[in-house]
Amino acid sequence: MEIKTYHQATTLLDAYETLNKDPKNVIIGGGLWLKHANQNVNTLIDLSQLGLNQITEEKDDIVVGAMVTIRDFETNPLIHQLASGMLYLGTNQIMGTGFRNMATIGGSIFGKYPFSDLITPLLALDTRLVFFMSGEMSLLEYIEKKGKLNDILVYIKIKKHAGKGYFKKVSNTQLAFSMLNVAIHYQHQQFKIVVGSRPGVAELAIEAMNHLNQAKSVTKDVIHEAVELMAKTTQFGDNEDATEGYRRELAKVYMKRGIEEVLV
Amino acid sequence: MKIKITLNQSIKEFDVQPDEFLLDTLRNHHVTSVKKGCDQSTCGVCTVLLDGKPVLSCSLLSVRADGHEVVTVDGIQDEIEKISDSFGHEGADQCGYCNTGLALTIYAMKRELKSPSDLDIKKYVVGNLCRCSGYEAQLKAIKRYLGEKL
Repeated sequence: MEIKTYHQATTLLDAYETLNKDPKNVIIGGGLWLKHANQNVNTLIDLSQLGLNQITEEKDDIVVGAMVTIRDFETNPLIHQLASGMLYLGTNQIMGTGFRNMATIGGSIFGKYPFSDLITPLLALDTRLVFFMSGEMSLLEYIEKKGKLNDILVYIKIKKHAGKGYFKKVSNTQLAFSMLNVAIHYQHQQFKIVVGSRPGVAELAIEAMNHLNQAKSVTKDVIHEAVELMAKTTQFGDNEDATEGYRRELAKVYMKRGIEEVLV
Repeated sequence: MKIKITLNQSIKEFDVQPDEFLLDTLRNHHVTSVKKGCDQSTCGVCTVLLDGKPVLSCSLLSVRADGHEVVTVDGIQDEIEKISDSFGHEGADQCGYCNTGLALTIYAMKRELKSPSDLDIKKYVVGNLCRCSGYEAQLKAIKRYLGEKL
């Protein structure tokens, strides 16, 4: 990859205008995937001087700037305590400390990486994204949006859920991509279940969630039925990390364990 | 592009390309204690401290270090002596290629974590790979450096 010029943005408007001047202009997050990118860049736009590296607390939300590093995110007490620490578990297992001191929340979400260990738990927690021009949208809406969004992710808003959470990453080593991850959030007798690294980007197991959420009582049989529904309705695939069938079986096991864990 | 970095307590000016990485800038200026390994953000041998935090210099654009403090093992010789002694005592060294990156990560960990457990230590240094040792001697050496009685 070749980068012709580097631009330190002075304002969000400056960054936005520079981004939209040329289709080969790109915003940099942590920059950890630069070496893997094939495209050449005319102007690389850096947001690191715009004060987007803060985590703040609002009445109902935790607001996380796009340039907050994964390490600062995982070690923040608000994040650490949220929903049984599911976001901490999701991020604490991403590569090593040096990597996480560089990778940013914005970069990790904007790329919609199919192996992401961050998107999966965030999706289970009703996360909303705030873009400079497009305004606020749900993480789910963003993931489902086709094509590239020529906008700047400014910060994300995570609901201050009091419920219980579960996160499981399955990989050969911590330095390997997940071959599967599962996140479950449970609050007010309502389940939110997300399966990621399928190897597609994370998605909600909607039919399984509906089955659990409409049940009068979450018995062993109901859990079994929900797990089977998830396995039937979620699309899995093959890649070098795992086969479709293996992923499906892993998802069944960890979804069951997760439900049992959040019910205790 | 001209950048200024406080490298091991002294201000240095470098002329860098927009797509140049800090690892290459440092090594091209004879700071060869910073090693090149996988060059893909994985192995940790290129670790330096940026404003006190371990980062991977193979993936940090040099322009992003402009105005920041960078520390390599050359800048903290006294502490490196202590880490080196601990490694020697526990027989945790073999080829030594990963040592400089690992030493900087351990140094940062000592300042960041209070009384880390074995698991905390393993999690903190997991991104610093060693292909010679089996990590057990390294863990003992790290604990010795942290002042634990073994």
